[in-house]
Amino acid sequence: MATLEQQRRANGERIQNERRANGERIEAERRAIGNRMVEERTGKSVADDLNRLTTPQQQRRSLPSVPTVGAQPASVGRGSYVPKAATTAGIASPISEPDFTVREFWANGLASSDGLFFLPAVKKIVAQDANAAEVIFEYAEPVPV
Amino acid sequence: MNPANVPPWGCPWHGQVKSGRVYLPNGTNRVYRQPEATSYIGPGGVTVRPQDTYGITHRHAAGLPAIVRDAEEQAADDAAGRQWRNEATLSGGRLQVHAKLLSGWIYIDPAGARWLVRCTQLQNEPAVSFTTPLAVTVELIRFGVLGGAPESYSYNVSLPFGDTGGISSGSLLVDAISPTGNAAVVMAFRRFSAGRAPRLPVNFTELTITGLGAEALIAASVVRDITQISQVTPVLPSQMWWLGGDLQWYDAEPESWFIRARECVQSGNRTFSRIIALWYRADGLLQDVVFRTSATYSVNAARPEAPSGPGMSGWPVYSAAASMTGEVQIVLGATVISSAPLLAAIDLGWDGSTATYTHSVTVDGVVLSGDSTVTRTSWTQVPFPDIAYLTGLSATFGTEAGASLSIRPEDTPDLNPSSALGSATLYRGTLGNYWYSRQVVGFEISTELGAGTNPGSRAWRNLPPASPSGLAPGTTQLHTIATPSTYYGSHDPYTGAVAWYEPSPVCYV
Repeated sequence: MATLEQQRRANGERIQNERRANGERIEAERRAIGNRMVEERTGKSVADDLNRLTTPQQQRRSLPSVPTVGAQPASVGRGSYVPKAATTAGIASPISEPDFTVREFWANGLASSDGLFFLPAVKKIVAQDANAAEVIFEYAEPVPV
Repeated sequence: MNPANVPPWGCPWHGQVKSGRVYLPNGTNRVYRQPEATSYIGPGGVTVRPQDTYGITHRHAAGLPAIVRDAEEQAADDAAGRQWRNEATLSGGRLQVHAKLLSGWIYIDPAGARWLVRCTQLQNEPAVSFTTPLAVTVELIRFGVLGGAPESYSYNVSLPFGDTGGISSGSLLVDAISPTGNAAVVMAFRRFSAGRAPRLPVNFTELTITGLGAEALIAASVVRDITQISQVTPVLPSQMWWLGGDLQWYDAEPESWFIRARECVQSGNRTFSRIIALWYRADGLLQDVVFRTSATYSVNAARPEAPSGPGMSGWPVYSAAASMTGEVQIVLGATVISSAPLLAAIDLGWDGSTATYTHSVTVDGVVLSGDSTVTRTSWTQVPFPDIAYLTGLSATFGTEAGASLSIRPEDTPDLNPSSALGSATLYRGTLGNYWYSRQVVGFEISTELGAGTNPGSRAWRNLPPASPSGLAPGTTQLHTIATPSTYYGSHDPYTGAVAWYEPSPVCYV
């Protein structure tokens, strides 16, 4: 069991530590106040900084406001965000066609003026982008007039 | 045919091609492959390129609507010499389109697919027998799809020949092609190396193609045989004597004489016609191209008295005369395209010691032959100028015969411009059809100049020819030369323009 002397010495050390801590705290507070005053003078907000240094005071509750009868004042509308179903983020260039043989053509091509020659009209091209993601091109049918 | 927002594309360069350049409507010209003639191996192994095949043109039409251009587009086309046509022209004997040799024609099947039709046995004018059908292979090759997969089918076809009048062999030429390529006419003909008419048709056979290219039905049938090609109207009466037919001394017991009726002619009209080609109309139907002689005869001849014995000394005094007036014509279908007046006459006399014989033919106002007084000692048949092979117009004179003026079919042309008659030489002119191309044909007349020389110089007359579009523009061309020059021509099936009497190959594309 600690002697009285030991007890008194321990208490003294405790009190000394507490006083030192308080002193350091107060010093820090004062320094912060000084910095804040500097910031204040340089144009920064004062109210929020002081609030951070001080013990938050109990908020006074105010009575709920009653809406003004009549037209509502203008306000910003808000919508609910629905994310898209797409799984890719976009098409990365370049787009290339890996296999010509899967290209599809319309039955009717584009005829030369004398009807002797036909340029095949593309119906579908299966390509891929730089990320190897499939890209499909589908073309309209050249309907004869 | 294409959507309205698709501009016309293909080959817009059309015009007359000469010396490897195409002459455009805007007055400019550009390099262009000269359409080629057909070719075959002739005597001595020499490659022959018939003059009348350089300018061949066949129309290919799929029934497409005309290309419509607005005012600004048309002005730009006109300035550049462009023509956007809804039809194509197959050019030259080897049939090229857009400067590419096809050696065949284009068939459009019911699905609208285009097929190149080739038959090697019908190219390059092969020499064949007409006594049995010719086995040929017709190939249909998928055509016109840029980048399309190759596809072809072969069909065996038997090409028949009808009555050819005893001509057992000759050559073949695809001489007409329908606009959609579903039919083609093969001409069987005799070829002559001399003279100005190289071909004498004896038969026309038509090839027809129906159905899809992969399962086509290809048939062949005779459309004109010799009985239809060569016709004489009216048919002769069964019995007729006239103008000395054949008066012969039958040197046998009992001695007698008789008259053997030759093909005699009465006063009246007579027409001889020969089909010289078949052409397709725009609607795809065939029409005859005919050389025709139509004339009215006038005869003054009494039945000869019986001779007192054989030989000229037994002949009684005799005289007779006959003449005919009419026209020679080139007829397309039912329309006379080109014509020239024709006058022919003969006079015969025997006074007991001397025979006189005169004959004359005048065509287009030009006398082709003249008179001759001869003492006859032997039989001679004198074909009347060189129109015998076309008109069968001939005169005969001899001791056993009086003289006859008749029209009958002659299948062997007499291409010599003169012939001997006794001690004199009769100079006869020529009247023939000159083919500037297989679609451009006209009268060519020559007369001998410089009596006493053979062949001597000749005066040539080339009348404006006939074409599928009618009579070609221009005037009769006159030329004096011993050996006639070679001339070329062509017909544009799209515009109807005709080129003729050109000194070098010409063809429309």
